[in-house]
Amino acid sequence: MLRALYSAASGMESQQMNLDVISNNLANVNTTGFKMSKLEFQDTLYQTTHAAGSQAGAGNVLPTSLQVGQGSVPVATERIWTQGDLSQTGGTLDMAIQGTGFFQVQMPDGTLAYTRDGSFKTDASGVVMTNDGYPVQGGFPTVPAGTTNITISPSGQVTYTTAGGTTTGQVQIVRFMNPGGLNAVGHNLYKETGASGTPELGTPAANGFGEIQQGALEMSNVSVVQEMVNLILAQRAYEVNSKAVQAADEMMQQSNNIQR
Amino acid sequence: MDVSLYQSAAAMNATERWQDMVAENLSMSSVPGARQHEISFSAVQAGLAGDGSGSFVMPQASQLTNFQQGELRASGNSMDFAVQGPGFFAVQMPDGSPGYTRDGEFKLNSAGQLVTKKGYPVLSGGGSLQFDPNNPAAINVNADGEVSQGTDLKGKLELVEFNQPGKLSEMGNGYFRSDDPNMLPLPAATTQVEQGFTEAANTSPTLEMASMVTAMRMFESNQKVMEMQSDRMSKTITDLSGTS
Repeated sequence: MLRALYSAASGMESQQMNLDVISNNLANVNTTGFKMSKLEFQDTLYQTTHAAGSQAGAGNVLPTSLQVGQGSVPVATERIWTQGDLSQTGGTLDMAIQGTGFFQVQMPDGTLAYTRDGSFKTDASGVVMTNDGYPVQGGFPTVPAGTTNITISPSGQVTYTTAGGTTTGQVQIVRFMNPGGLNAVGHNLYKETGASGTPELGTPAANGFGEIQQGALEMSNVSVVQEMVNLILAQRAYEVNSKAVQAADEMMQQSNNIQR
Repeated sequence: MDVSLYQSAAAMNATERWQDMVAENLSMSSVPGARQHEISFSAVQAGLAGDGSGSFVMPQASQLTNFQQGELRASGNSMDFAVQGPGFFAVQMPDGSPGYTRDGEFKLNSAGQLVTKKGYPVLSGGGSLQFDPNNPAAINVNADGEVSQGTDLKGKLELVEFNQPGKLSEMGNGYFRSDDPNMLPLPAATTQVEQGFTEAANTSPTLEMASMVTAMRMFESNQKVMEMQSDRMSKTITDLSGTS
């Protein structure tokens, strides 16, 4: 009876975390470059009373086992890396990657972080940086004073036109063997881990790398309709587990009241 | 007289303590950094069988503290700090000894020192952190605990870890103390500080409700046993004594 109670309670805890993940997805429905997460569950340790295949006497083996589980536990938040829709903003330094790839950003402590959020700006000295002020790596030349036109081609060729002439450069983006292994650190940034593989630098629109679209931003890939369905599922699963808790409680009450 | 009566009474006592603990955990669920308590039952000898066949046991309840990480909540207040990891903030208790806490809702006192809600100075490198109360520059703390006011680096918040936090004794108000001279605070290795967040109490209402149900039914079943034993004794007295 107690096992039923604790299994149902673990189910409720799992659905609570599911709700946390879903509401985070919904909160970020307008975040540039956001990739939604999905919570994955796992069943827990089984208590085996007798195992299949054990001896039943006279040379026979038991065909089935008697195993009772102990509930469910969240095991991973899987990030879904589908392409978000592109929204045309017209901003000169707004960039979206259509396909595989991340922009490289340098953090204040010197390490590199990666992002799909291409809403870049320049500071007073012309260094291209993110909204948090982190310089963008990968080959963006410093924008000289008096630049009248900035053009970035889908294959990453940068051209700054000033009155005196042009400055050109080549932007490179990175990709990972296992983007699911990247660590999300907030600020729309991801960091490399032992599970993601090392970043592979490459030219956009070649060898499977995505192309850069200037003047557009990649919107969040959260599907509101799908998340509302998941929300309903999580809520009903929570409710049905609470019914199991109530049923276990009532059965314990019945057993206590055998002796009146 | 009857060992079973004492066993039932001990069980009811223990479950009552469990219920108290559940109520306390639920009431503390809004306090930042509060660590929930867990019940631990151990078997205590209740008596020995007269014929030497064995001993009777009864439960005794004791309290353990659960140091699991609580949820981080963004509060938007730059003087709220949350610990992410197994570490603690070190503060100076009124008697001069170091205390440890997870509650990071700090403020500046009139002298410009960084203090906790109860006014205890937060330790940094053995002393307190002094800020200039007239300087309007914002106070920033990075993930390693380095504190700066504007562009001046003022120091580093003392973050410590213990390899056996279960041995810490609670001093009330969310402060812990290490009584074991062999368990010294270690400099934090995997702990980080988040500014603008508070760490919620690590209570899980669902599990507390499941515990409450279990405790209540355990209490009820022991009460039934006690009632049954009482009826049996009463029956023995009335039937054998011949009185009605």
